[in-house]
Amino acid sequence: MFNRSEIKEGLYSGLPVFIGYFPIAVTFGLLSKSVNISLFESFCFSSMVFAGASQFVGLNMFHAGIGLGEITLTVFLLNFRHFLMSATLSSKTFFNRFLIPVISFGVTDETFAVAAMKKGELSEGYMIALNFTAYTGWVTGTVVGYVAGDFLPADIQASISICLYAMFVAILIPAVKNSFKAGAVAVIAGVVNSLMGYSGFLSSGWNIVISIVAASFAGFFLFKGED
Amino acid sequence: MDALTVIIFMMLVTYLPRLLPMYFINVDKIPGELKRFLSFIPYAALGALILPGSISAISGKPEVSALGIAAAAVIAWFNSNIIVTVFLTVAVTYLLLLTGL
Repeated sequence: MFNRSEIKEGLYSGLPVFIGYFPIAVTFGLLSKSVNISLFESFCFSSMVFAGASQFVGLNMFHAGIGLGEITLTVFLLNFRHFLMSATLSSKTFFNRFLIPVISFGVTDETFAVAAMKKGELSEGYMIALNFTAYTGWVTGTVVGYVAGDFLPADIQASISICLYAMFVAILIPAVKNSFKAGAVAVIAGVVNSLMGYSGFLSSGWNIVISIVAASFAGFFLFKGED
Repeated sequence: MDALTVIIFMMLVTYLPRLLPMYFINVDKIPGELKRFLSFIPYAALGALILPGSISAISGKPEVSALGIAAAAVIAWFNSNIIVTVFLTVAVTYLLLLTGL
């Protein structure tokens, strides 16, 4: 369960996530200062919610004076994809019942992507170490941003906002090189999500959940009997 | 309404969807077909996370964002170290911004 080499591997696998999270969390800290919430509240946002985009959305809505019910529903929809991600991780490995509350707390798009691409079984030690590295980046970045974020030059701030996307691409490409199916399913999901985004019928939270499910179904039927 | 109330509600609706599936899905009892369906989720999720979001990664500069992501794909094709790809992509993006695109 807590094997030293697996913990080490988890900490190391979390490094790219740390690097990707830190600057974005700095931006969050900066933004939360600019909307006049306290450092403690900003810290609570990142340490308790631990979710990227939805924190920005929630903070903006709160600042705009939008009601609690609407904020809660929006954030729920935005993060509902994590339901699918947690389900996928537990279809790979049987986690210790008592550690599930800790392991699942750290499931984000990024830690999920890293963990899902890992070969073989996942251990509790690996998962917690991976999530811990990511969490540390997110929470420390928030505090640094709140306290000292104004010092970053604008061009640098702008260019690091590509970090997380670069990381997603870096995780996806090796999988695509190994399997045509992986690439096909990813492209379908991206295209469906883009089309739904431009059509503007539903919120982006719905769009992403529907695209993930639709593309996985497409893969399920297109590649039936091939494996 | 104070910020902490909002934070606690946001935490609940973020945490529960992460927590509950891990209790309900048992790797030993999950049907093979569902497992095969779930095996596509990582790739689908990555695709949906990259597109269309990456095009607006840098606000007001879709061309730079698109070129940066294309650069990331090329870099990732030739090296498998995620950190190297992330750093090189940021460097390329920074240079693109300096050219005033």
